[in-house]
Amino acid sequence: MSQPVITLQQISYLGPVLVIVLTVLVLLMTDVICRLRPSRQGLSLLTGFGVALGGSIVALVYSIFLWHRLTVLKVGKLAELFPVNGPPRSVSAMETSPVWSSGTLVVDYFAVFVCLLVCGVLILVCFNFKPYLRINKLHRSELFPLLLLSASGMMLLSMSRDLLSTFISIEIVSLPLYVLCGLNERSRANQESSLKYFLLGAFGSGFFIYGASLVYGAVGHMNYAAIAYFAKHSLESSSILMIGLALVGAGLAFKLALVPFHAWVPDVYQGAPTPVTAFMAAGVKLAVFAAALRLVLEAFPLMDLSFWRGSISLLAALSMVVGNLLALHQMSAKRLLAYSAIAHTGYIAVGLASGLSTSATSILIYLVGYALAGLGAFTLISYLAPDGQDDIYLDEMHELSKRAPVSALAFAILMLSMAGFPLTLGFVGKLMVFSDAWRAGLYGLVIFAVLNSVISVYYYLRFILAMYMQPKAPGAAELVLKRMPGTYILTGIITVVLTLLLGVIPHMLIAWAQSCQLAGL
Amino acid sequence: MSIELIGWWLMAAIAVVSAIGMLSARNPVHSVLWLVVNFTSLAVIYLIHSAPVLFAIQLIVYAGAIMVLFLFVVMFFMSPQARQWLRPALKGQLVLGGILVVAFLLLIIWGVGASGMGIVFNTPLIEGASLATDLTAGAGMGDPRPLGWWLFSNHVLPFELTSLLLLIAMIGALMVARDLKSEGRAIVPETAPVVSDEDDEQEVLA
Repeated sequence: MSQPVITLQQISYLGPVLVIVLTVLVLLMTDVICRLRPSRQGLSLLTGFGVALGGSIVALVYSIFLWHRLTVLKVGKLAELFPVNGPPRSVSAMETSPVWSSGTLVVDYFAVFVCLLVCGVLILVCFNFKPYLRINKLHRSELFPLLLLSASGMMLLSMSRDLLSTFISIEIVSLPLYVLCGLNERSRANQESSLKYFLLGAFGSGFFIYGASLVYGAVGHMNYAAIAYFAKHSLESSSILMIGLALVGAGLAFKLALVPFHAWVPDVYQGAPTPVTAFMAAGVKLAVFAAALRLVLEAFPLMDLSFWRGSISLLAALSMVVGNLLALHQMSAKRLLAYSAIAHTGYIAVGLASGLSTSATSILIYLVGYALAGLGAFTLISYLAPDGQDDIYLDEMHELSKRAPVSALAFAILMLSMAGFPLTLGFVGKLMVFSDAWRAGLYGLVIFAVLNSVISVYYYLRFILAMYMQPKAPGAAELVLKRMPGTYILTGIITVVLTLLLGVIPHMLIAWAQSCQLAGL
Repeated sequence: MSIELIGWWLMAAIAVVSAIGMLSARNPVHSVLWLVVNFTSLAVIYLIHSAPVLFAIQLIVYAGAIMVLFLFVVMFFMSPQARQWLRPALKGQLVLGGILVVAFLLLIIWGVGASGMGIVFNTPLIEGASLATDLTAGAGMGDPRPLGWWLFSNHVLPFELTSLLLLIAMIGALMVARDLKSEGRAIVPETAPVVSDEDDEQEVLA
């Protein structure tokens, strides 16, 4: 066992994370300085927004730089940070030379790609927050440090190759979100959302860490390489390892909101401030799926196939059908998107179940499409929402196409992308994920998933029909349309244009994502 | 039956009984005190499994710090009527308690001095390589020194990331527990204090 050596160059590969954490420290200081006088409260929000945005952009540029280095050096990965190696204790105590070695963190195409996406999501969410805080009269500039810290956890999650660092990264992602959900102390819905998310999130983390301890007990290590090695070389299948991994999976499923671990989603998504919901839908889903992909594709392939593929397929099927059926009759747009988020998790889990080396590519493309559609839709919801309601209902949306044609069109396009219509990015993602599963031989699951996406078209079209075709019911509340804040317009344009552009010509995105393959089957 | 096994069964029985006691106690303070018993018996079980570090951590962190926090919170939210019985029942209870505290402190100081802790501090740390072979052979588990070795070698990243987690907890607690009145904004009465208070409590405990 050699002493772990960490060089400055290796640390520089963690750049995006370090930039974000440094930005947080700067934010904390500027916040204190701006609050010295109460009259400067408006200023503290503005500087908070500016510094957070600047930091996210620098992190984005840094990620692009890392991607560039990867392509220039023509290597699969830049660095394996914090290397560990060894024979797992339980396999053979006599073994002296290390039989596996792996970094606790790995900076490869996949990780850098996820970092890029996280930075993008972060920038758009910052855009969303600026007008949201002003309109809702919230003077809470502390939210920017929390938002950025959560994003730093997401980046670490995509690099992490170890159950322990994965666990801590998940906590770094979730802990700020528990607080952010309760952003508005005057809103009961916010408080309820925060408390529910916190309690159930803590419950899910409990599953994860208990499972990790069982895995440690069986393997003697928590690194994915060690788990894979153990699974390959141990003669009898270890039931403790299986139970441990099942519990770890349950913990991840909690965070991903796979049925039957989905109960928190509707209330939390609906009750949380809309930009936070957008961040949860786009960012958390992305990051936790990145972690799940690493776990499944790097640690599971050598294991009993029916064990993990069967259980993931079951969760996927349940999520799709429950999410879609419950979404059918939702009147609130945020609640609808919450149930549809459960269904989308199901579709993505279909890709996870296939477990091929190309699964990472397809799932990342799906997640890009979902993140864009989700961010755009939630932006439009927070624009259209009446004062103090922070949500819109179906009966308020009638005839919206006449009163706000551009917003209605944008909303319709994003809904179509979520439903997976051709010429949108949502279609490309679904196609790739399902074709992966087909190649893996999961025919029944793919047919089931396609049937489910047909069901889902109903509830997305319901909102589009309401906006375009149905007359306003007498006595129904009418939305008061304000001037759209500039950053909302920017977010809307970015999301809609990218959804359409990448939907029509997805080659470039697919080419990039194809570099992001993980081990797999 | 060895003495360890007898001790283990005894502690296991106490742990189960105290857990049931904690769940069934009507008074929240009693509930918390049952939990202390549970944590302590669990700590002894760890010791029987020759994991002294875990034993110490269980006592210091759970039975010590977290339980005190629990008690504070429970007493903080108790109604004034329920607080009646907390008053000292015996005369001079407080004085006696104070004397016992001082005596206990002296006992600890004497114990630390007599145990020759100073000598332990001065011995050179075990060599990494030899320790590593010990570890692969499965020896020395539960000893504080290998734990320190693991913590600062293989697990140095999670260890450092925990600091980030603490930073988040700090900012989050400040954000949740912020005093609104001091910022010159009235709290709308519809916001039932019960909800937000529960929330604060949870976040602080986190």
